[in-house]
Amino acid sequence: MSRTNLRLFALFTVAVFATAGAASAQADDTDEAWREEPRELEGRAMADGFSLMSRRDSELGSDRIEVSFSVDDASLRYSFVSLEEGNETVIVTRLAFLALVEFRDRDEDGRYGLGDEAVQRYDLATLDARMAPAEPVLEGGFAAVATYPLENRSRGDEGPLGGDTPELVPGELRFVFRMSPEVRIAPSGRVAPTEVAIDVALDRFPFQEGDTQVALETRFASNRPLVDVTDAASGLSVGEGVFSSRYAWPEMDAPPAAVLAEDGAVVAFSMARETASLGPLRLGAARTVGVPEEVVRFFTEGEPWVYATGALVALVAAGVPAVMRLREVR
Amino acid sequence: MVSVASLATGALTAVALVVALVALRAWWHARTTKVLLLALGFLVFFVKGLFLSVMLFIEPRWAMESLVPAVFLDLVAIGSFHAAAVARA
Repeated sequence: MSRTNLRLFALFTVAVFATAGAASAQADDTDEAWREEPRELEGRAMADGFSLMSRRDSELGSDRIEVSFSVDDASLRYSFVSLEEGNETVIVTRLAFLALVEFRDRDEDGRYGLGDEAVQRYDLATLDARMAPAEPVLEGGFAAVATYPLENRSRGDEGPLGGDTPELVPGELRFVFRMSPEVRIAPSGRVAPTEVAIDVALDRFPFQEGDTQVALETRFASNRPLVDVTDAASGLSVGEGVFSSRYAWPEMDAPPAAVLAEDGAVVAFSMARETASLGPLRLGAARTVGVPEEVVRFFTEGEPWVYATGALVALVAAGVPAVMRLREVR
Repeated sequence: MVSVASLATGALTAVALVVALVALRAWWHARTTKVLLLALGFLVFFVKGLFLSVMLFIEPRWAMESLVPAVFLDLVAIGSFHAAAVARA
């Protein structure tokens, strides 16, 4: 190969890689800018919960997010509506906080699952909860606190497990919901204005046994199918097309146990006895323009028999004529 | 649904192997730089097939993860073909 050709080839190689890298980086930057662009945020307090409305109409996107929480059924509704021309969509997700479960970790995997023994269960929707109204916070965002009392059932006649007269100071489970009009820097990292962050704190949980742990059961459901469950260790996404809604959680020593369904999942977060907090859990919208979901689905994991069939057919189709031709030449 | 990607990857690897063997046999007889570069190009395609086959079975996001190395191998093979075309006999 002449020097000129070598130079041309090297230039071509560098150009291809630079273009591919730049296109990929630009797509990532665009998605991040879409997520982190400042938005208008309004909050409204209600006796039994709160509702928030976040919207923007800019060059990056036109959409609105409606969030509401009902303390009585302990569920958060997150609705994302895209008004972008050609990309109109509505993704409704519901995150229900089902129960606190005291469990004995029979299979010793550090988390609550099917192989473990449930000692007692507090269904949150049955508890007499109270709501501190949503109120503005320093960054111009909103915060609201829902508190669920956990009365001790360990002695006496009443309660499903032979509970007694409740102790004077019951335990409590607190959820702190936060949403901001701009990116908020939290101890766990950046929280985008498209996200609702939920900190969970557990005080004085009334354990019945001395060798147990407690788990928070949640149910994530949507009107859209689950996508990209390969990253289920840090969260789950639902959606279609370029938009998705993601239920995410921070990295944990014992990752949560998840039972997946087509349109959602039940996810249980386990906490050791000494751990009194969890989070922040996050619920937020995302846009991914990098690779269309159809393309990702096309490139599914390998199937050995299909692979072997393809190889065999090609081997015969290409090999037999080649061998025959070589014999003729000889 | 049958995985078309599995079928195509298996077929690509097998075809690349056959063509590379034929080209190597041709080089064995001809012993020219042109044919050697041609055979090297086909060998690189076979290596790409093997690489994609391994990724297919060990990496769930194999298409995304193997994109850059696969494009790189394509460029090396094309470069080899180009060199074969311009090399003196």
